[in-house]
Amino acid sequence: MRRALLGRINFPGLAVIAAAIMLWEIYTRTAGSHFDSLASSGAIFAAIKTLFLDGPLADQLWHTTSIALVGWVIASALGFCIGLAIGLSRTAWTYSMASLDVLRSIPSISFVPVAVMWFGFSVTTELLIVVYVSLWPPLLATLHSVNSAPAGLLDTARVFHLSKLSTLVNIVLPAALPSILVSLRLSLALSIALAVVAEMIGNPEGLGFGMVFAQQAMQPARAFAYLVVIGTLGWGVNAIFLLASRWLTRGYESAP
Amino acid sequence: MTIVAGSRKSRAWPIRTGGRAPLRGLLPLALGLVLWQVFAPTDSPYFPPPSEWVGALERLAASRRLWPAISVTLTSFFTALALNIVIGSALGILLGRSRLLDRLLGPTLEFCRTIPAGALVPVAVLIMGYTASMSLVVVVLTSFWPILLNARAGARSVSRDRLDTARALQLSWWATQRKILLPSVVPSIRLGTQIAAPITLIIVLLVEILTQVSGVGRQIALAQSVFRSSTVYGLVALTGLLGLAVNWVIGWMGLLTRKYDPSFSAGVTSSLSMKKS
Amino acid sequence: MNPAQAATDVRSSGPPKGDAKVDLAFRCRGLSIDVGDEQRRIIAGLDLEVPRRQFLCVLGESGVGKTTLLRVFGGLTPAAAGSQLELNGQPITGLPVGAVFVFQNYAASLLPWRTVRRNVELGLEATVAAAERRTRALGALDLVGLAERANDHPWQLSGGMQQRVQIARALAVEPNLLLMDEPFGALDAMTRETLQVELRRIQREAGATVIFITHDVDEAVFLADRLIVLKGEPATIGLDVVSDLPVERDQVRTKELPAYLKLRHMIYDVVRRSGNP
Repeated sequence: MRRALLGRINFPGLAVIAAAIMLWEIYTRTAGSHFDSLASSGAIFAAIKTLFLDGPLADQLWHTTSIALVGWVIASALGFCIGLAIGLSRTAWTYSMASLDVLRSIPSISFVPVAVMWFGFSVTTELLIVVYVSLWPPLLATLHSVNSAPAGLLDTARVFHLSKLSTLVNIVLPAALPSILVSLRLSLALSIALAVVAEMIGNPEGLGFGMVFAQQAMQPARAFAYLVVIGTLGWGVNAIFLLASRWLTRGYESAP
Repeated sequence: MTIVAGSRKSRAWPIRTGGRAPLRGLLPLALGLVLWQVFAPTDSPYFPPPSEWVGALERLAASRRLWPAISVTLTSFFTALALNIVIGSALGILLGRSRLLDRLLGPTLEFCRTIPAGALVPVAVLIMGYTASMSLVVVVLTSFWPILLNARAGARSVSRDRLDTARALQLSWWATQRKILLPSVVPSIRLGTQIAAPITLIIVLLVEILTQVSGVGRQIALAQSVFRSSTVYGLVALTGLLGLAVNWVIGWMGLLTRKYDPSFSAGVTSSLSMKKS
Repeated sequence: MNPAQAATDVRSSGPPKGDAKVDLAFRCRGLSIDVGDEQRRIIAGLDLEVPRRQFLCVLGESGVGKTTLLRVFGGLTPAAAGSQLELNGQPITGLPVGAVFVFQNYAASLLPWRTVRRNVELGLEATVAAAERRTRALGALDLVGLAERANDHPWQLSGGMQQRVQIARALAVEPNLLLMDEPFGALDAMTRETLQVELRRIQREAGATVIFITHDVDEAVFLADRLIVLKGEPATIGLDVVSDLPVERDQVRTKELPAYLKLRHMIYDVVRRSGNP
């Protein structure tokens, strides 16, 4: 079991990352040393440590992560319910799908200033932005996949006289799960990204604010530090969710 | 004995939502706008009625700030998209054809892919200042991924038979790339482009809102900072139109590459064989 | 089923006429089926009576309408007006309770996220309590010889085993009528031969009535108590013959019997009679 796990870790790839970090260190100390807007790998790590131990990084990390997660949970539940309602009812679909299409084609980023206008610089603004943007992927995925259950499985449901509810719970939703999980992973990444953006514009707290603050104070090491932390946060959350969704769909065959 | 009448009713499961959404679906949106128009006072600070939005946009246009902004945004968008296609395809094909490179660069690219665009902006500003090239760099680095991923998948799945054909015909490396590999990957690149286009537009606007240098994004941020709500709403609706226009153009350009689709040639072949029987 | 009941006439119909006491599992009169947008009639005025516990094989060329016919028997597809269908003496409207369909594509009809046992329980969940469900499911799995794989997932089983799971699932609900649509068509020859022997054993032990569709003449002759050949456009019964093969059958010895060869000849004569594919 451990060998299988070890075999799956891409050691050469990780070596490349380590090499890149070292090369960056070398570059910034030699040829790139006259750029005072760059920071060496060592300086970046030092900045992370300082910010974490003596500075606001821990609180900011907590703030961004918790808002992103809370917003994501709300958005996922909302998106799932709305998607289900529209997907299951022909009438609902007929009388709302076109409106959704129009709303969806407005670039989501345009709503950030609107939220700031309504609620000013506050947590509400941040949460609202996160929820609005993150609810589209699960909504659309649920709507679509509830109506894409494989014909063979639907025939089976009819053969065994399963009620509509039973068909939904036992056949349609499990069949839709992989697709919905993918959309949730996407919206999770969006939640973090939008939380950071909202913090840069609409709520002076969290990692986004920390980063803008460092940039305006012309402190490259700190700015890069925040970049690394945000990147790692996104990557880490994505990896955890990927593991969780692989476990959830462990009975399924891989899609053809 | 009961007669079982023939009926056209198909499967039991609720609906098959295929095809275009019917226009009746615009009812909620239209209704919302009408209600807003009717019930909002003209001078409401937060919720001015839609008629005000149009007026605000007209004033913006009159003061010669609207069209230049649209022009800047669209130029950034198409430049970035062109770069996305070139860089994304090249890298994607490279990674798709070379297992070694893919394995080596995989984790690094995985990490870079998940960096949110907003987080790149402050660092990019520090390094490059508030310039158009800074904006381009940020947009391209964060929105070319769908093209890269799709090109990689397409390059990986080019059939052995086709590549063996190239070898049998003793084509040069460049000829192979040009005549066999690239056309096979075109459908994947197109799919990636269609996914990347809306993302590219969003990030162009994001950078404009964050840095407030120029473009439609800057206008929105400006209007918001002085509480010109009708201008904000009007511009938001405008970005919606931009989004639709962009999708339409990309879709139309995609049609030009239809001849590379496998399903297209399969359709031609099958219609030829059907003529026999 | 009386093995001594031999066919003297090439085109004798199934159970002897005038035998009003024969217990019929299934019966149809004047069954017609129209398909497609043009409502093309593929089956016209079919009359069929299937006694209980009979293993009936329906043969026909590809495209003649065997699958559609079976789907109509199972209520999955509607029949044309004027058709009369009865299951167990009760007229069929919609999906008849008591008839179960077994599909050729087992992978598409087993639930991949459920264990084998829970798949078999599917048809019982609405009507039977948990403990009894489990017992019946395990009993059905035992009948098909898969009791020890009850906690595996379908994808962990071979094709032949998955098809057996589907059969177990059908048997668990103790149906009056088992409708099987070329269930062994997707399997390799050796698995098919094993499963054919298994199926005859299962059918006898469970006392089930089976209508089995296939285009494979040898399979039909091996399995059937009675054979029907569909022919023509629209299709009608071209041949209806009761098999005089012994009840105990073996893949080698039975196929050497003169009665076996005679049946095959009968069938090929009918099939070859007018027109070729």
